Amino acid sequence: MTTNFSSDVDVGRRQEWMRLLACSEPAELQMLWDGLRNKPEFQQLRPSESGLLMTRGRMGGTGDAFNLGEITVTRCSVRTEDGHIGHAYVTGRDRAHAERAAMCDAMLQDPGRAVSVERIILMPLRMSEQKRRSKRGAQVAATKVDFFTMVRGED
Amino acid sequence: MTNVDTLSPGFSDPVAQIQVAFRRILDATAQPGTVVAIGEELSPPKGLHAAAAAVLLTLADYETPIWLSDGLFQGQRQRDAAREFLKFHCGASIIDAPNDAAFAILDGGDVTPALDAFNRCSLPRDECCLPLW
Repeated sequence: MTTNFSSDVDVGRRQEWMRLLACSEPAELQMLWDGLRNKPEFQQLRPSESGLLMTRGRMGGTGDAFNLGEITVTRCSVRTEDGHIGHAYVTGRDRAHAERAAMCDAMLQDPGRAVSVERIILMPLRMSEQKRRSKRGAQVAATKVDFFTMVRGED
Repeated sequence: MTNVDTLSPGFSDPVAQIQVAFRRILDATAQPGTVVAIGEELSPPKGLHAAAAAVLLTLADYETPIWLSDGLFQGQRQRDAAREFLKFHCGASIIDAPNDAAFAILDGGDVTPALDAFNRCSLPRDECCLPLW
Protein backbone atom coordinates (compact mmCIF):
# COMPACT_ATOMS: atom_id res chain seq x y z
CA MET A 1 0.00 0.00 0.00
CA THR A 2 1.02 3.55 -0.37
CA THR A 3 2.36 5.48 2.57
CA ASN A 4 0.00 8.39 2.43
CA PHE A 5 -0.85 8.40 6.10
CA SER A 6 -0.83 12.09 6.68
CA SER A 7 1.29 13.36 9.51
CA ASP A 8 -1.57 15.05 11.33
CA VAL A 9 -3.88 12.03 11.52
CA ASP A 10 -3.20 9.58 14.30
CA VAL A 11 -2.72 6.08 12.85
CA GLY A 12 -4.48 4.41 15.79
CA ARG A 13 -7.56 6.58 15.40
CA ARG A 14 -7.63 5.99 11.67
CA GLN A 15 -7.40 2.24 12.19
CA GLU A 16 -10.35 2.46 14.58
CA TRP A 17 -12.61 4.31 12.12
CA MET A 18 -11.53 2.20 9.14
CA ARG A 19 -12.41 -0.92 11.11
CA LEU A 20 -15.71 0.55 12.23
CA LEU A 21 -16.66 1.54 8.68
CA ALA A 22 -15.62 -1.82 7.25
CA CYS A 23 -17.54 -3.79 9.87
CA SER A 24 -20.68 -1.65 9.67
CA GLU A 25 -23.94 -2.85 8.19
CA PRO A 26 -23.94 -1.61 4.56
CA ALA A 27 -27.56 -0.46 4.76
CA GLU A 28 -26.94 1.51 7.93
CA LEU A 29 -23.83 3.17 6.50
CA GLN A 30 -25.79 4.15 3.41
CA MET A 31 -28.55 5.67 5.51
CA LEU A 32 -26.10 7.69 7.60
CA TRP A 33 -24.13 8.71 4.52
CA ASP A 34 -27.28 10.03 2.87
CA GLY A 35 -27.91 12.13 5.96
CA LEU A 36 -24.50 13.79 5.73
CA ARG A 37 -24.47 17.24 4.18
CA ASN A 38 -21.74 19.32 2.51
CA LYS A 39 -20.03 16.38 0.92
CA PRO A 40 -17.09 17.18 -1.33
CA GLU A 41 -16.68 15.96 -4.89
CA PHE A 42 -14.88 12.65 -5.12
CA GLN A 43 -12.60 11.21 -7.74
CA GLN A 44 -12.00 7.49 -7.86
CA LEU A 45 -8.33 6.63 -7.63
CA ARG A 46 -9.03 2.95 -7.79
CA PRO A 47 -12.65 2.04 -8.50
CA SER A 48 -14.23 -0.59 -6.25
CA GLU A 49 -12.95 -4.04 -7.12
CA SER A 50 -13.47 -7.43 -5.53
CA GLY A 51 -10.85 -10.08 -5.02
CA LEU A 52 -9.76 -12.91 -2.80
CA LEU A 53 -7.61 -12.58 0.26
CA MET A 54 -6.03 -15.46 2.17
CA THR A 55 -6.75 -15.27 5.87
CA ARG A 56 -4.08 -16.73 8.11
CA GLY A 57 -4.13 -17.74 11.71
CA ARG A 58 -2.00 -19.14 14.49
CA MET A 59 -3.15 -21.84 16.89
CA GLY A 60 -3.50 -20.25 20.28
CA GLY A 61 -1.90 -17.12 18.87
CA THR A 62 1.58 -18.62 19.18
CA GLY A 63 1.84 -21.59 16.80
CA ASP A 64 3.03 -21.54 13.20
CA ALA A 65 0.94 -19.49 10.79
CA PHE A 66 -1.47 -21.54 8.71
CA ASN A 67 -3.85 -20.62 5.91
CA LEU A 68 -7.38 -20.54 7.23
CA GLY A 69 -9.11 -19.95 3.91
CA GLU A 70 -9.85 -17.33 1.32
CA ILE A 71 -12.37 -14.58 1.85
CA THR A 72 -13.88 -12.18 -0.65
CA VAL A 73 -12.71 -8.62 -0.12
CA THR A 74 -13.75 -5.46 -1.93
CA ARG A 75 -11.48 -2.44 -1.89
CA CYS A 76 -11.76 1.11 -3.08
CA SER A 77 -9.64 4.27 -3.03
CA VAL A 78 -10.98 7.77 -3.55
CA ARG A 79 -9.68 11.32 -3.42
CA THR A 80 -11.64 14.38 -2.36
CA GLU A 81 -11.48 17.58 -4.38
CA ASP A 82 -9.11 18.92 -1.69
CA GLY A 83 -6.72 16.02 -2.20
CA HIS A 84 -7.49 13.88 0.85
CA ILE A 85 -7.15 10.22 0.02
CA GLY A 86 -9.35 7.56 1.55
CA HIS A 87 -9.04 3.79 1.35
CA ALA A 88 -11.37 0.99 2.34
CA TYR A 89 -11.15 -2.79 2.44
CA VAL A 90 -14.41 -4.51 3.32
CA THR A 91 -15.35 -8.17 3.32
CA GLY A 92 -17.91 -9.30 0.77
CA ARG A 93 -18.75 -7.96 -2.68
CA ASP A 94 -20.66 -4.82 -1.81
CA ARG A 95 -18.87 -2.26 -3.99
CA ALA A 96 -21.02 0.64 -2.85
CA HIS A 97 -20.16 -0.17 0.76
CA ALA A 98 -16.43 -0.09 0.03
CA GLU A 99 -16.81 3.19 -1.83
CA ARG A 100 -18.77 4.84 0.97
CA ALA A 101 -16.28 3.62 3.57
CA ALA A 102 -13.41 5.05 1.49
CA MET A 103 -15.22 8.38 1.12
CA CYS A 104 -15.74 8.56 4.88
CA ASP A 105 -12.06 7.74 5.45
CA ALA A 106 -11.04 10.58 3.14
CA MET A 107 -13.38 13.08 4.79
CA LEU A 108 -12.25 12.07 8.28
CA GLN A 109 -8.72 13.14 7.38
CA ASP A 110 -9.92 16.60 6.47
CA PRO A 111 -9.89 18.65 9.69
CA GLY A 112 -12.70 20.82 8.34
CA ARG A 113 -15.06 17.89 7.82
CA ALA A 114 -13.92 15.29 10.34
CA VAL A 115 -16.12 16.61 13.17
CA SER A 116 -19.40 16.26 11.29
CA VAL A 117 -18.50 12.81 9.90
CA GLU A 118 -17.52 11.72 13.41
CA ARG A 119 -20.84 12.94 14.80
CA ILE A 120 -23.20 11.89 12.02
CA ILE A 121 -21.63 8.62 10.90
CA LEU A 122 -19.11 7.21 13.37
CA MET A 123 -21.03 7.76 16.59
CA PRO A 124 -24.19 5.94 15.45
CA LEU A 125 -22.02 3.16 14.00
CA ARG A 126 -20.22 2.75 17.33
CA MET A 127 -23.52 2.51 19.13
CA SER A 128 -24.99 -0.09 16.82
CA GLU A 129 -21.79 -2.10 16.94
CA GLN A 130 -21.97 -2.01 20.73
CA LYS A 131 -25.57 -3.23 20.52
CA ARG A 132 -24.68 -6.04 18.13
CA ARG A 133 -21.88 -7.13 20.42
CA SER A 134 -23.90 -7.16 23.59
CA LYS A 135 -26.73 -9.01 21.86
CA ARG A 136 -24.31 -11.63 20.59
CA GLY A 137 -22.63 -11.71 23.99
CA ALA A 138 -25.96 -12.37 25.68
CA GLN A 139 -26.80 -15.14 23.21
CA VAL A 140 -23.45 -16.81 23.81
CA ALA A 141 -23.61 -16.31 27.57
CA ALA A 142 -27.00 -18.06 27.68
CA THR A 143 -25.43 -21.26 26.43
CA LYS A 144 -22.42 -21.15 28.70
CA VAL A 145 -21.39 -24.46 30.21
CA ASP A 146 -19.01 -24.76 33.14
CA PHE A 147 -16.72 -27.75 33.19
CA PHE A 148 -15.62 -29.22 36.51
CA THR A 149 -13.07 -31.88 37.23
CA MET A 150 -13.78 -33.80 40.40
CA VAL A 151 -10.93 -34.32 42.78
CA ARG A 152 -9.91 -37.89 42.21
CA GLY A 153 -8.35 -38.67 45.55
CA GLU A 154 -5.41 -40.72 44.25
CA ASP A 155 -3.24 -39.92 47.25
CA MET B 1 -2.36 21.82 3.81
CA THR B 2 0.10 19.19 4.83
CA ASN B 3 -1.87 16.11 3.98
CA VAL B 4 -2.72 16.82 0.39
CA ASP B 5 -1.51 14.05 -1.82
CA THR B 6 -0.90 14.22 -5.53
CA LEU B 7 -1.76 10.64 -6.37
CA SER B 8 -3.51 10.46 -9.75
CA PRO B 9 -6.20 7.95 -10.69
CA GLY B 10 -5.35 4.91 -12.79
CA PHE B 11 -7.68 3.31 -15.32
CA SER B 12 -11.31 4.07 -14.49
CA ASP B 13 -12.51 0.74 -15.87
CA PRO B 14 -9.38 -1.38 -15.36
CA VAL B 15 -10.50 -4.70 -16.83
CA ALA B 16 -11.75 -3.37 -20.16
CA GLN B 17 -9.14 -0.64 -20.58
CA ILE B 18 -6.22 -2.91 -19.72
CA GLN B 19 -7.44 -5.47 -22.24
CA VAL B 20 -7.48 -2.81 -24.96
CA ALA B 21 -4.03 -1.56 -23.96
CA PHE B 22 -2.69 -5.12 -23.85
CA ARG B 23 -3.99 -5.82 -27.36
CA ARG B 24 -2.35 -2.68 -28.70
CA ILE B 25 0.96 -3.42 -26.96
CA LEU B 26 0.88 -6.89 -28.54
CA ASP B 27 0.20 -5.36 -31.95
CA ALA B 28 3.03 -2.88 -31.59
CA THR B 29 5.59 -5.46 -30.43
CA ALA B 30 4.49 -8.24 -32.80
CA GLN B 31 4.59 -5.98 -35.84
CA PRO B 32 7.54 -3.65 -35.35
CA GLY B 33 6.90 -0.28 -36.90
CA THR B 34 3.19 -0.32 -36.14
CA VAL B 35 2.12 2.85 -34.40
CA VAL B 36 -0.51 2.40 -31.70
CA ALA B 37 -2.02 4.88 -29.30
CA ILE B 38 -2.47 3.91 -25.66
CA GLY B 39 -3.01 5.70 -22.40
CA GLU B 40 -5.15 8.55 -23.76
CA GLU B 41 -7.44 8.13 -20.76
CA LEU B 42 -4.64 8.46 -18.21
CA SER B 43 -3.18 11.58 -16.67
CA PRO B 44 -0.13 10.27 -14.82
CA PRO B 45 2.20 12.47 -12.76
CA LYS B 46 4.54 14.79 -14.66
CA GLY B 47 7.54 13.10 -16.19
CA LEU B 48 5.76 9.84 -16.82
CA HIS B 49 4.32 9.72 -20.34
CA ALA B 50 0.69 8.58 -20.52
CA ALA B 51 1.65 5.74 -22.86
CA ALA B 52 4.49 4.66 -20.56
CA ALA B 53 2.08 4.69 -17.64
CA ALA B 54 -0.41 2.61 -19.65
CA VAL B 55 2.28 0.01 -20.48
CA LEU B 56 3.28 -0.27 -16.83
CA LEU B 57 -0.29 -0.36 -15.50
CA THR B 58 -1.02 -3.12 -18.02
CA LEU B 59 2.09 -5.27 -17.69
CA ALA B 60 3.78 -4.54 -14.38
CA ASP B 61 2.87 -5.99 -11.02
CA TYR B 62 4.54 -6.65 -7.69
CA GLU B 63 6.99 -9.07 -9.34
CA THR B 64 8.34 -6.66 -11.93
CA PRO B 65 10.91 -4.20 -10.62
CA ILE B 66 10.83 -0.94 -12.56
CA TRP B 67 13.71 1.40 -13.23
CA LEU B 68 12.97 5.03 -14.08
CA SER B 69 15.51 7.23 -15.80
CA ASP B 70 16.45 10.45 -14.02
CA GLY B 71 16.16 12.23 -17.35
CA LEU B 72 12.36 11.95 -17.20
CA PHE B 73 11.93 14.10 -14.14
CA GLN B 74 12.64 17.60 -13.09
CA GLY B 75 13.54 17.24 -9.46
CA GLN B 76 12.92 14.75 -6.71
CA ARG B 77 9.28 15.77 -6.20
CA GLN B 78 8.26 14.67 -9.68
CA ARG B 79 10.22 11.47 -9.26
CA ASP B 80 8.52 10.70 -5.95
CA ALA B 81 5.09 11.39 -7.44
CA ALA B 82 5.77 8.91 -10.27
CA ARG B 83 7.08 6.37 -7.78
CA GLU B 84 3.98 6.69 -5.60
CA PHE B 85 1.73 6.39 -8.65
CA LEU B 86 3.36 3.15 -9.81
CA LYS B 87 3.57 1.68 -6.33
CA PHE B 88 -0.11 2.35 -5.74
CA HIS B 89 -1.49 1.19 -9.07
CA CYS B 90 0.88 -1.68 -9.94
CA GLY B 91 2.29 -2.62 -6.55
CA ALA B 92 5.65 -2.62 -8.32
CA SER B 93 8.91 -1.67 -6.68
CA ILE B 94 10.99 1.11 -8.21
CA ILE B 95 14.65 0.20 -8.08
CA ASP B 96 17.91 2.10 -8.39
CA ALA B 97 20.00 -0.50 -10.23
CA PRO B 98 19.05 -0.78 -13.94
CA ASN B 99 20.56 -4.27 -14.06
CA ASP B 100 17.77 -5.73 -11.89
CA ALA B 101 14.90 -4.08 -13.72
CA ALA B 102 12.19 -5.96 -15.61
CA PHE B 103 10.98 -2.70 -17.11
CA ALA B 104 12.99 0.44 -17.65
CA ILE B 105 11.41 3.70 -18.68
CA LEU B 106 13.69 6.09 -20.54
CA ASP B 107 13.34 9.31 -22.33
CA GLY B 108 13.94 8.75 -26.05
CA GLY B 109 16.72 11.30 -26.09
CA ASP B 110 18.44 9.79 -23.10
CA VAL B 111 21.98 8.57 -23.76
CA THR B 112 22.68 7.27 -20.28
CA PRO B 113 22.97 4.59 -19.20
CA ALA B 114 24.41 2.46 -21.96
CA LEU B 115 22.20 -0.42 -23.07
CA ASP B 116 24.50 -3.01 -21.53
CA ALA B 117 23.66 -1.62 -18.11
CA PHE B 118 20.38 -3.50 -18.43
CA ASN B 119 19.83 -7.18 -17.93
CA ARG B 120 20.61 -9.10 -21.13
CA CYS B 121 20.16 -12.53 -19.62
CA SER B 122 19.80 -15.37 -22.11
CA LEU B 123 16.51 -16.41 -20.50
CA PRO B 124 13.78 -14.31 -22.06
CA ARG B 125 11.92 -14.02 -18.80
CA ASP B 126 14.84 -12.27 -17.16
CA GLU B 127 15.38 -9.79 -19.91
CA CYS B 128 14.73 -6.16 -19.40
CA CYS B 129 12.05 -4.53 -21.51
CA LEU B 130 12.89 -1.02 -22.65
CA PRO B 131 9.94 0.96 -23.91
CA LEU B 132 11.31 4.18 -25.41
CA TRP B 133 9.63 7.53 -25.85
